[in-house]
Amino acid sequence: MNELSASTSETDVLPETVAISVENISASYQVRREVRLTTTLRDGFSNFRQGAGSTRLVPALRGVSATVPQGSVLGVLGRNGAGKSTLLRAIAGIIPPTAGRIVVRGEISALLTAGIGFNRQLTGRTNIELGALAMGFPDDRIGDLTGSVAEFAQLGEYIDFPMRTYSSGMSMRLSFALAAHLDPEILLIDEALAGGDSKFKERVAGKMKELCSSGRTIVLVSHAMRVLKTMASSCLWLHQGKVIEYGDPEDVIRQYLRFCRLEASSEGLDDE
Amino acid sequence: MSSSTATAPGASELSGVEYVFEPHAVKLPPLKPYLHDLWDRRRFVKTLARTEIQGKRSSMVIGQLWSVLDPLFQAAIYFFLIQILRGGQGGRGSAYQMTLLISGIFLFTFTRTSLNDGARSVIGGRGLLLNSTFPRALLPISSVYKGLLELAPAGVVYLVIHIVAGRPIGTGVVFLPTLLLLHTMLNLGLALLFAALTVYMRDITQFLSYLLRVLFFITPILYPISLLPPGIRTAMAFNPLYPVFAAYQAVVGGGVPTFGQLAGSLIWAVLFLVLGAGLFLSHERAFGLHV
Repeated sequence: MNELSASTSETDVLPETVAISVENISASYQVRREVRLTTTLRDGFSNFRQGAGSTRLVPALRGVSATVPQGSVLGVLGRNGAGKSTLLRAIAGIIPPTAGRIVVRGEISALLTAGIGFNRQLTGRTNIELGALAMGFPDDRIGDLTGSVAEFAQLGEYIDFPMRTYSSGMSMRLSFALAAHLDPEILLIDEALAGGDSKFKERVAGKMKELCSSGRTIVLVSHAMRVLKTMASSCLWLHQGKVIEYGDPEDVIRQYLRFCRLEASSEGLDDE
Repeated sequence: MSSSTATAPGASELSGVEYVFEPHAVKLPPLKPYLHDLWDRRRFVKTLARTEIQGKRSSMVIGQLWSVLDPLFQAAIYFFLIQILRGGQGGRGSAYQMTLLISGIFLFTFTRTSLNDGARSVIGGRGLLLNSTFPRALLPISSVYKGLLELAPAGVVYLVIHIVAGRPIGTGVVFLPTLLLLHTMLNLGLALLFAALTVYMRDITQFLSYLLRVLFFITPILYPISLLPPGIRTAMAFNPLYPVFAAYQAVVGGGVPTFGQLAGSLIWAVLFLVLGAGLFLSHERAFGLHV
């Protein structure tokens, strides 16, 4: 813990044990409205003047705040389009917030979505290499990394096959394995546990516990309530870009499920 | 396995880095750390360029072979076209004409690759860009590096052709490294500029093929600059590729580049590098919103 005592001299409002502090952030995407293929130049010109091809601002997050202590797991839940992925991207620094501030302490690993697949024509091995190199992983450890990732993801000889030949489960296993083995201080996982069989899920859970116990912090977006219940130290429920509930996982999940039942909608309810 | 993470028993190893993300303003990131980050990730550039050459073709060897053969075929076509237009009076000048043509097309291919691949590099790297944080300039830099990788075997092939054609090698060759450096700077500037523009306007990639075709004809590749009337030669100085290609042509012909050509190459290279890097770096934080 010498690191913590070393940094007490800094004048900082945040407690030392906070890994991620999301302070009232908003984020919006500029979405280009689709322009119809115009048959004549005049149509095109009038479309242009009316701003038919212009962009529209779609808010994805509105005033979201959260604090994630070091070594804990924040579970994020909500229906499709609630802003969960946007939140992860904002924490990773991939998209800038339009308002508010995010403070992140520690190196973040590649954010996971349904698959890293930088280029699905390339082999799994090359994708691992490119992903790791882009994140600044030391050159001399790339070989070891590829080995451990392939072993953890149980890809076998497929590691040298193009990623387009992978099943979705294999892509997800590869994604998780890579992110977890990049030695991140903060791990962001976006629905990556949905695929994969129960045996792999056990390995994932084990790996995540191992990371947490060594002071790593995890933000986990999932539709699988059971995963959130067992893994998360706290939960954040997003709906249309706003925080509805934030706190104890049991409470948040119970309220979320009740909301979903009230909505009489099963979408986004992936609790196998 | 999992050697990388298992070695961390406590929080003592944490790096202590802190990132603060605030609303995006169009401004340059601190350059020194940015360049340091780029240098740290230089192997990414090498790996990406190499795999892209391998990518479409099955192997590196065939990939590089094609990158030499394709410009050679182009040169052959233009050579015959020029012979026909001249009414078949090739004679003594044709060896000279051929070396100009081949060297010009090889060198132009470097610019073409930088521009074409560079413009697509950021939108094409969507998968990586949306999932990880890294200095985005790595992507267009890889495109330019790929162009350089393809130029290397072409240079060797050209040298053989030059010698076989019995063309003299003048003192001008000492200028080649400088010219190549300025040419690379120009290409990098163009790649950064067009990569950033393409994020906001996808149509740029369509427009590029016309731009490249125009550039090809207004750059001294198919003709020696001595054929140009003085007025046109002056007007052509506004083509960013003109000075460096005119200088290359002087070296290929066994002569020495003029001061004007060298100065022009330097001015265009610096101008586009500053412009391209400025636009790219000041906007790259927002790329995630647009790709």
